Amino acid sequence: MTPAEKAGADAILEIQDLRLHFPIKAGLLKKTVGYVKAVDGVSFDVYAGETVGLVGESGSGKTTIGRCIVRLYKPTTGSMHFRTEAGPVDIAQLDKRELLPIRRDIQMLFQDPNSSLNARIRVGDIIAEPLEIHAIGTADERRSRVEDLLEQVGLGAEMFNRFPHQLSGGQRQRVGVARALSIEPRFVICDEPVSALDVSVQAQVLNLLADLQEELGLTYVFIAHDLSVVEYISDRVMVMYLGKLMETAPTRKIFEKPAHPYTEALLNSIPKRAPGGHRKRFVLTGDIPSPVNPPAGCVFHTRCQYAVEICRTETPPLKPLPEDPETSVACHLAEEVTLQPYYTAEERRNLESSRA
Amino acid sequence: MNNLEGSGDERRFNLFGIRKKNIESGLKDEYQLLTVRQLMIRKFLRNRMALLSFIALVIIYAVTLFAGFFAPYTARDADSKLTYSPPMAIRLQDPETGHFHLPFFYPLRGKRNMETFQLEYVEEREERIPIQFFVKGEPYTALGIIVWDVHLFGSSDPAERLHIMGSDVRGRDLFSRIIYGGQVSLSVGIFGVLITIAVGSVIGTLSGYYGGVFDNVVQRLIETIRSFPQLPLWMALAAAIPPQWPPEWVYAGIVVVLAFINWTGLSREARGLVLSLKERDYVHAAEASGASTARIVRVHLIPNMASHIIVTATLAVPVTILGESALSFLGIGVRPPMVSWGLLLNDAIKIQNIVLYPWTLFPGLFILVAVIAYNFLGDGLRDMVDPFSR
Amino acid sequence: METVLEVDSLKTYFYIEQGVVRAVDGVSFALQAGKTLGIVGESGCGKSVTSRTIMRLLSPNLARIVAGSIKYYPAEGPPIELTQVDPYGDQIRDIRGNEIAMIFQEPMTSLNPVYTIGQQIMEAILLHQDVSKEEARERAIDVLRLVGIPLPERRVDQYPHEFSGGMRQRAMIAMALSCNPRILIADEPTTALDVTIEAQILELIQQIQQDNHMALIMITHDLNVIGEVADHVIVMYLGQVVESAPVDDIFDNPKHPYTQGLLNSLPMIGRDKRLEPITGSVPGPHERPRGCPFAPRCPQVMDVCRAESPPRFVLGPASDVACWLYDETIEVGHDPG
Repeated sequence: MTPAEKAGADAILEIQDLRLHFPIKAGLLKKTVGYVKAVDGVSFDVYAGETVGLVGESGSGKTTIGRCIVRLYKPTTGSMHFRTEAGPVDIAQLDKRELLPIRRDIQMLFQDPNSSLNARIRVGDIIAEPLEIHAIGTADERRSRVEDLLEQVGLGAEMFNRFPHQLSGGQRQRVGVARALSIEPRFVICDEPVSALDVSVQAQVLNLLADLQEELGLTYVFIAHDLSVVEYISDRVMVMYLGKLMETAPTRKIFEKPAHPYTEALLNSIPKRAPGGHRKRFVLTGDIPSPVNPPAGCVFHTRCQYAVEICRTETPPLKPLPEDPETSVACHLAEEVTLQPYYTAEERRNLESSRA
Repeated sequence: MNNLEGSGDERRFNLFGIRKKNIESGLKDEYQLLTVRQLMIRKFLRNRMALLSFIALVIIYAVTLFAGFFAPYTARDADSKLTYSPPMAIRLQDPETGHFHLPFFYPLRGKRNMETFQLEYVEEREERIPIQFFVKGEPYTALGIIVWDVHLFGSSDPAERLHIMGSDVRGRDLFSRIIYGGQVSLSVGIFGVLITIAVGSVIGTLSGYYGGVFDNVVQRLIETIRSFPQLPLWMALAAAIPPQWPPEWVYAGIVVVLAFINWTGLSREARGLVLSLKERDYVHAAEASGASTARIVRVHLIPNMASHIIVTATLAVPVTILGESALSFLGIGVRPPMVSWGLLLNDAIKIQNIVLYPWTLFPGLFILVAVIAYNFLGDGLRDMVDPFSR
Repeated sequence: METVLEVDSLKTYFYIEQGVVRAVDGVSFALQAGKTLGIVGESGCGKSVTSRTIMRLLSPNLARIVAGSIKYYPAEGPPIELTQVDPYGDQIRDIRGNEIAMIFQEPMTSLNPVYTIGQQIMEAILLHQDVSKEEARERAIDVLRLVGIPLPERRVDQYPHEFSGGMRQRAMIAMALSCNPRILIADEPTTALDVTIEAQILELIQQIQQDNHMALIMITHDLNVIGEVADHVIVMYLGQVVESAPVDDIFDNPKHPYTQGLLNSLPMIGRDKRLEPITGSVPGPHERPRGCPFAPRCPQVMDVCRAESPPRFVLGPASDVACWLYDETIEVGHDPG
């Protein structure tokens, strides 16, 4: 059963042709001399209860999309229909006041717990802040809610009066989780929530997020650059490059049958142990181009080993594969090239049996 | 040092020794977790000059606050017989007999030198005049309400005046006038900086937070103000204060004039801080929860800026003190009957006065001490604000 | 096998306002020419301090080598005891950069923005080798070409800000390689980079290592990187080496409960199993456990672990582990083998 079917094909968020172009200003009069096309025409749906992994390198626009959804940024064009009790609302163009009720449903979890917690505020007050902003409950009610939350994220109510610097990195990120969940959102953008954490603590936070999702029926958009983390937590993966979606597919398919040459390159780049010797692999050359002047045609063609003439001139649309509609790819050659998977189905079976 | 390495057998062999060592060293807790506040205090206390300056400033402010008590005379108490008298020595030993006594002084008698027509003072050593502590003298009003007439020290004989730092052209005690002048000079620093903080941090915060046209206009305005040389601009503004204003108004006017330039520096500091703080994720988190701008400024920006603002403000105080002194020295600052250090220094404006009456430079010494102390204090506070640096 | 570096029970302590921080508290390893030693551990385990102690880069006012030895074996001549050399003297300068080179995590802060890439590489060459300026420039262009920078003749005159992140790291590597060092210490060389760039850099480092028969110390928190490049691995925790073993043993047959815990915490693609994190977090310097550093988080902790620090038990020709579970004289609840 696919995640979409699991959720009864109930899209909680439908994003259509989202664009965010930051103007570049120069000179004394601050004239706009160009645009950074951080997000450049992205459309996707998120279904209730699923976890969508959003991967890409720095500069791919994955964090910008997350910040658009929580409306830290106002998109340049495009629509973001969020399903509320009163029907879908396009949150792309709402103003600050109209957004307030929506913000109770959409929260964000930040990457670096050192910078996402105000060092001058006590842990309890940090977690209570969203409750205060939305004027939920009395002071006593808020306090007991915060104490419950502290227990729920595995910290214990005695942390209420601590300051962030008295906590370890993992504990700080738990505070971040508690703050995001304090107003009972349905939808959480997790922006690289474990990349600043140590391996052992990273696993604790990943498990906590998975447990909370099950308990509270949350929907996650999980932004990460670490493919193994994304593979662990996501039902579906979307691969971004230079502000555009390259491929979206169920997690297992991404690794077993990548459909976009960029996905293939990403998989190939993951450092992997090769027992008994050096691994032969192909390595993507060059750097990600500047989003100010993205290449014409397919944005990936400058680094793509399969690129042909049409890739340089025409932008491929993101469309479902005929033989596999769960996978959508933006590549002219999607049906022609055979790409190297991270592992074959057989290797996967071996992996599972060896680890069991 | 220890024998951890070597072959496996050897290692086992040495196990006992290792155990003993570990138990010994494991027992004492060498590392203590300090709170940020503890670290800050330690950091400040370790900066000797800052600590010393802080103590010096506390003493100076306490003395000027209770000027009536610490000064032997009032600022206007004149004696025409003792004009431009030099500092009188406080003695413990009789220069002739060599006997020790309680503190005393010899009164000065003026005699005109018939060649130069200068008044020259000699000590009259016939009679020792004891210096008395908690002596009754001229009545004064302390803290604006308490009327009292006890001074910390003074001459036991009201007819023989004691000028430990000399006197001025009208025979007024310079030491007393310096203490009273400190009230003006030092408070100008404080009030000027309070205005600076209020104006500078509000404008800087708004300009950093909102950016755009407002920021652009404010920044260009600041650049314009700062591109004038500081002293001439102060002079021009001070000259605009109407001469018919009462001295208290002039005082307020001078405070405003001095703050007029200082707020620009502080506002830039605040703007820079806001620009960096508003990109912190905790501000984003508050925004994503729908926090109002007022809330973000109040809860997240101000507490994180406060320490930096205090440092900048501390370093702005000596600038203001110097500014007031400069204006008063040039005669366009506070006006008599108010006294300030700069105004007192005005007596030393002529080169011949410096030669003949070098004690008229004493107010300059006080300005120097106050300004240096504030600078050291600001330095110490700056270290303290960033307790993790070394 | 030719040993080029031998570190023996090294202890480096920091003396700061709050007290003593035992950053490195008993580290031993030997490094062979042409081989890669991986040092892996979480933040605060002392892996970076170890490398900086070897290079003698730590300020003596702050950090002191309290015990142990670092022996460097030059190509000719007697071994040099690096703990005894003056950290500001000529001897260490001759070794640093020339014989032992280092690549840092953050290439932007390791390159001086006011000099061109070429000037910075040439400086290293001119410092250590008796060549003319022109020859040094030629050599700089050669190493830039070697690390795969396109158009090195033009790039040599550019400033660091004109380079992308991956290119800067390549330039750093070029600088490190400019004097043909015998040992390369790479301290988290790919942590700040994207995964496709990381792959390029790892390929490059390994290629150069093979060509020059260099010894490599790869310091990282990323077990996957270790698995890809290392021959031998030491696992560090709170300043101590808890396990030292060939790379295959570390992954297939980890001995120390901490190593086992790390592997169980690591999301591995294709493994559909819930992660089993190590409980708790790395203790801060103020809450340092008395016995085994890992005891408070260890699932197999015994009484002896809390009381005394374990010695290193030799398990094979190249592997040892610091864990009381492997002491045959102690009755253990379960069989450690």
